[in-house]
Amino acid sequence: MPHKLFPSQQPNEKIYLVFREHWFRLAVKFSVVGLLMLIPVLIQTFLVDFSLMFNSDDSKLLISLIGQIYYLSLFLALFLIWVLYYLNLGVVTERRLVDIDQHGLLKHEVSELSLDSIQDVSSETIGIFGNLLDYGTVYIQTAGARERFEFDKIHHPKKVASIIISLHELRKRKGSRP
Amino acid sequence: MEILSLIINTVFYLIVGTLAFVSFLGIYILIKYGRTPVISFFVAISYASVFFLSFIGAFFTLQRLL
Repeated sequence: MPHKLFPSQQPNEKIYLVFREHWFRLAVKFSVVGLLMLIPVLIQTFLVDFSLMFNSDDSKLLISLIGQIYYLSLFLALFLIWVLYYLNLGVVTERRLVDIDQHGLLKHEVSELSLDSIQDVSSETIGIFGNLLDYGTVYIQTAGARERFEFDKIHHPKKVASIIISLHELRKRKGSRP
Repeated sequence: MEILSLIINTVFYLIVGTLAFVSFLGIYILIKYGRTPVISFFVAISYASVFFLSFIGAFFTLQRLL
């Protein structure tokens, strides 16, 4: 049995697009943690030599212990950043749009929108990196309870918006056929 | 000295316990909601191994300290 991308996926449902947040956003978050990892090394090299500051072995061991816990926390941060990136997913199928959001560790949200209830699709690219690397947000206006559906910071937002519009048109034509 | 070692021990286990709990939660949601079980499992095992080894390293440093 094939693995389902989202809970209500039908066995014969054709999937057109699966996307996550743009890799650049992940790289920025990883870089911040990388810089935090460099801070103790930079302090040790350019500002304070801990081995000269603390003469006793106990003090050195204590500094080493604090360093190990600090790096353990940063390693956990890297893991969580990747997990949240991996679990946040957008899916476009022949019938619906699915937005799977993992907000922190304790909130998992799966929102679905039928292609039939789409009223308007727009895309937005903001900032230097957004324009250079072609990532942005796709907004989908609906007639349903959740008025605006959005896929945030995804790659090729214009292409994704045009594919959603094409699928919506295709579905409308199929639906209006006698 | 006894009180100091008790404080260091308590602080160490509190911090590492919190980190381990958050890691466990992360691994749990990764395995529960991950779309590709092989990737989720591989990443979870790799992370857990590195975390455990780092914890062992920190634990031995603590033992040498006390």
